[in-house]
Amino acid sequence: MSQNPLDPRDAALVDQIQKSYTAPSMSTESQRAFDQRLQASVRRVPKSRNLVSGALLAAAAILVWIQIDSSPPAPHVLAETAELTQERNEAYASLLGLEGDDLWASDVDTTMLPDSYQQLSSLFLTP
Amino acid sequence: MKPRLFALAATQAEISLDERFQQFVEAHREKAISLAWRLTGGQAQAAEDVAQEAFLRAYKALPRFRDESRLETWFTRILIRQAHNHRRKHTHHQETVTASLLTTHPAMPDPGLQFRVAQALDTLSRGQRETFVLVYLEGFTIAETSKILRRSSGTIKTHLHRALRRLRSELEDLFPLDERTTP
Repeated sequence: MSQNPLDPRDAALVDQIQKSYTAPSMSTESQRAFDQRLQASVRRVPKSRNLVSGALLAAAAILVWIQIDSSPPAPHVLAETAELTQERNEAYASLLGLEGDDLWASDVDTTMLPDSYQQLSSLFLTP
Repeated sequence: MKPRLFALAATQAEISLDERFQQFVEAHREKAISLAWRLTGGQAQAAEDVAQEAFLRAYKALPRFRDESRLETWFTRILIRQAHNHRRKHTHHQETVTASLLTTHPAMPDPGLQFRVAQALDTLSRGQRETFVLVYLEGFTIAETSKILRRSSGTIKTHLHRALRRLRSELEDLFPLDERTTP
């Protein structure tokens, strides 16, 4: 039992406590009920774990989707973007020598694009 | 010797998780409930609840443990923690619940005496109570208790010494000096 030797007085006290403070033994029926309850809990383990993780994953995905879908750009970003787009279109058209509906014509000389693109880049990217 | 060990290992590997768990429950059910009962102040239902929760955790952790002795140490630690959590949650009900449950078990030899012992154990600190119950009532060695409670052997011995001193004074009237002293 214990590796701690007791003096006789303490040994007697421990002996009395051991005898008087003991759990009632379980009947076979109680043991069976205990096992059945445990089995029921065990059966729920993988299922409930999958459900919880699945529900959490779905909730996280929905939140991310809502966040991405519903968050509009800040007003100053929208204004800057619109302004830049207009400037870019005008500059591009001027470089290509196009005006109005010609911008959408199919016979635009695309060989001009690389040089024009370089000029556009220098126009918009240099600070 | 070697072929026998290998054969044993192969047999163990073939045992499914559920079978292994079933064997573990059968081997430890009675001792787990007894320990939980003593740590929860003699409450039969609380002891079963605590043991159920500890076994359920053992089931989830079972794949991590190949060594049964390590699993047993871990399981006992979990059980003790569960019992402590139960005590903490139900501390204000402790006295009345203990009294009522002890008296509703007519099979018990002396419910009044059990109640007094439960009360005396309740006066100990958590460390003293758990150490006393493990070593003197459940029969764990000091080395085993040291591993379970993650305390040094010196601390365990100190807890035991102080627990005994306290219990002697708390139960002096029940176990008078002349009956306890042997020549």
